[in-house]
Amino acid sequence: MARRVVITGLGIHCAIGSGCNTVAEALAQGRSGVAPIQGFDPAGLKSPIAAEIADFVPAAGLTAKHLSLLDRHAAFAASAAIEAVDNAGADLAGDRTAVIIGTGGASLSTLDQEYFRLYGQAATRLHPFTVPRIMANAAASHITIRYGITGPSFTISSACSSGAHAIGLGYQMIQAGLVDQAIVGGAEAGLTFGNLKAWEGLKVMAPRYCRPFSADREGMVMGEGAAVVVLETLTAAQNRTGPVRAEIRGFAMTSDAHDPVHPSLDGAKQVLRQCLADADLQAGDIEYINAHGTGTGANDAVEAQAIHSVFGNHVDGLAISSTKSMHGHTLGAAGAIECVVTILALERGFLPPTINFTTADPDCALDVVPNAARPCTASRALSTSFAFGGSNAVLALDLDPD
Amino acid sequence: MADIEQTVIDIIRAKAEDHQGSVDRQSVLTELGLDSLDAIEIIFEIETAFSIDVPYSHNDAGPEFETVADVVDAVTTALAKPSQAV
Repeated sequence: MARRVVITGLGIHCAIGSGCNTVAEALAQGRSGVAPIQGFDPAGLKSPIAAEIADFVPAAGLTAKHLSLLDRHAAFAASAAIEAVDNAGADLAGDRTAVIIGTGGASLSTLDQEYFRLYGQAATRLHPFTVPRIMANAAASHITIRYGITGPSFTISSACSSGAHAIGLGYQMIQAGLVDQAIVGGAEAGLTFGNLKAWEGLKVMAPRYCRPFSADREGMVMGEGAAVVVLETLTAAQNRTGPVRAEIRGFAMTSDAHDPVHPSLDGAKQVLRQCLADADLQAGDIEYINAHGTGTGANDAVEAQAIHSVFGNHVDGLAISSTKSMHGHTLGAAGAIECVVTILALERGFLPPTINFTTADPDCALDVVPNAARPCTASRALSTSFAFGGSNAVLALDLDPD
Repeated sequence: MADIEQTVIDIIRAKAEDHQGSVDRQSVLTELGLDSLDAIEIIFEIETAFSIDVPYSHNDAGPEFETVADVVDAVTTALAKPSQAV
């Protein structure tokens, strides 16, 4: 029998809060983290809004010297890792721990800032740590150094599935006995003028609100942040009486082989089915889905159709929400942030809402927990990620493992 | 007006690789083998060529560009609104 893998520590930084407690409060209140951009002058952007971490305070333990070597996304990841490791309370040093961090664009903040100085301001030299800041594995590297971890460490980049892939791969590596523990998650800091201009070109950005599954949805809103979790075997966590926050019951990843940016119904259905099979669960066992739910016309309709197809009549008892309506689309961090958000809400006994919802869409006929959190007793949930490139990932979580 | 139409046709023809001889006002974009990704790139090239902003979102129902004439009309409308120029 495969080893059972549990989450024993959680850390999160995003627009609705820094740390698990503030994020959980925001989720319960249905508070939006979307606001006019403050980090730079958004004049010239058709969508001058974002789910921004306006006043980022790095976790205690991250010194100025550390931060000088870290891109903004890596600083988010390091902060989230510190929180996760602190509340896991496990000894993670040595070669039996893996560190896997997902990110979509790696070091967009540093590249934008340093290249602007070079091309726009005729600077003759760049910051001497530009290279260590922009290397895509900087966050994973920092975490290994901080905790004396000598097992495998690397970065996964699969656009908006990166964070889910990182968690899922950590789960599989522990299951397979390659390692016994893992620090896994996702991070992204792409709120730059250049990156938002690039996204503007795809004509998918919302000018005012992120309202997933609503008939009048107007697109996605970019967010930033990181979430990190600590994984161990159930046995090890029980033996040391560590905090078992949730079991990872299953994970699946597939590729659409269809289109670089358009979602695929077949791909979404396949990855949902494979995840249920890996978790050894039936459709009727799932009580909540934290949807990919980007708020774009294409994603939400295809995702809703896939859920209807896979869950059939069980859709009636199933709650589905997109918390991107609050913390924005955090791209490479999304799968990890949404995994953590799901655990934070369910362990406090509520379903996190889809805010900004106004009008039901017949193409998205689901209980999307509109606008207000709702008390629940749910313990089994899925978190879905459907990335550009056709790369899909679904995690199955159980907050009340046998 | 004729110049606008010709420029739009030139841009669309360059994208419609397999139908280069047959692009005219009445051409239906999908029949030229053009999909929504092509449409986004065509709009970008038109916006750049005319220094205008063509209102288009991938998230709502309209405006839809069915024919080359629809695109020419959208450009003409956008050019008639100086405040839209970017």
